[in-house]
Amino acid sequence: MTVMTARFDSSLVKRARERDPEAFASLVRPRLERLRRTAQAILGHDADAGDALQDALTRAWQGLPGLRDPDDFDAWLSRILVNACRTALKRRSRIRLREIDLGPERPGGADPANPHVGPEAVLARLELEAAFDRLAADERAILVLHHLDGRPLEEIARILSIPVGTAKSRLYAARRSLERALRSQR
Amino acid sequence: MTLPDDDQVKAMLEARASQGPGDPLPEVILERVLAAGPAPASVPGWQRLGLTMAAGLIVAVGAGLFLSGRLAGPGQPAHTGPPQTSSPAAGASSVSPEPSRAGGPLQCDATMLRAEILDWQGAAGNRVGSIRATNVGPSSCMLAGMPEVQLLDAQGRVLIDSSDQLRPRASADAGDSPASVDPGASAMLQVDASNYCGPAPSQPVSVGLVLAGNAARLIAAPASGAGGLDGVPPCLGSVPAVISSSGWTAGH
Repeated sequence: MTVMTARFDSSLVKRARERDPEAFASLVRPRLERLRRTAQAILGHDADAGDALQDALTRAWQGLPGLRDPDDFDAWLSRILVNACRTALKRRSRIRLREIDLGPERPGGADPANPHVGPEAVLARLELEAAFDRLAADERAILVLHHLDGRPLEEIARILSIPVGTAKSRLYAARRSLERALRSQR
Repeated sequence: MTLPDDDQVKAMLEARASQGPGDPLPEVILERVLAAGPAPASVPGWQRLGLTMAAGLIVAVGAGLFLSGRLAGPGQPAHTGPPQTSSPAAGASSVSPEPSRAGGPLQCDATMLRAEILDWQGAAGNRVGSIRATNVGPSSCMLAGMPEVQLLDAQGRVLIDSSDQLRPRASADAGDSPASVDPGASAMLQVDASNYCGPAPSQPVSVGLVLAGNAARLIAAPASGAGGLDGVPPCLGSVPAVISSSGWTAGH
């Protein structure tokens, strides 16, 4: 984010804190797609991702007067979204655990969206995704923030309210959990 | 198949994120949120914290006066010591759980759980562990919030204690809600520790979990097949030792 954008955002945050809906919309709109993709990647289900996004935006709009530092808006909003995803996953785990069966009905052909990708690669990706679905919410979140959003560790640490060293070790632990989940399903 | 590299993880997440959006579209969600209007004029969080602490103090003092008279009984002093804990050999203490709310599952007590350390690895100057707590009781129970965590030596002496640390806790956010654990099911927790500069401890180390709400300590022993625990985190300098945990999540 450039300095000019940061100053612009800071001014919008101040107006949004004073209950200006246009200012809030101007702040959130450029971030909507990224937020949606983050929720979709963590939850793996578009309806759940939509619910988490709505929950996060509602909390952000209602809780904005409590944000002390306008420059922290981006990390603050992402933190709320990650928490909304965590809540959605816990709610889902109480209903039932989703199992992805890669048994006899596994896809036998190439990915229709990427015809140049062979069936083995598609199968490998599906296996990896099934392993990812077995991870805890915090593990999913840190992998998504790092690998999908491409956020640096310092930013991830701010989003998760943890020291940078802890973010680094949690990222390492999440990768190990993913590898363990992948091995356990083979 | 070999283990995934960063590019494979990124490709999988890209493919996963590209699904959707479902209905409604994100822009419609934003319009809905704004149409619902803001919450009633609210007190900023840091002011609300002060009010909450003041109210909590009044309630706590009142409850303390009430309980000290009720529990101590004639001629018996009220217990004012630290929370009761079990020895590592005992594995779990027998403190009763808090009563459930509205007839729901009980909060998990240390006697209902068996905890194991699945791995304990060095990472970037830290030690990182995965802990699995399995409900060995006959009924479902709830695990709420983050437990306090302690790194213990072979004699059960506390080397690092999360309750000694003044720091923001991620699980204090509103998104953290209790996890229900059915009999035979398990919940997972990540623990990381760093910067132990004390005297060399007796090995192997273990991890103690003080469950939120019932002040009982559960000792997580290394799981069979997990290998030996890789000791304490290295001393990195004058900053305090740190140990922290994630919240509970469904086990796997």
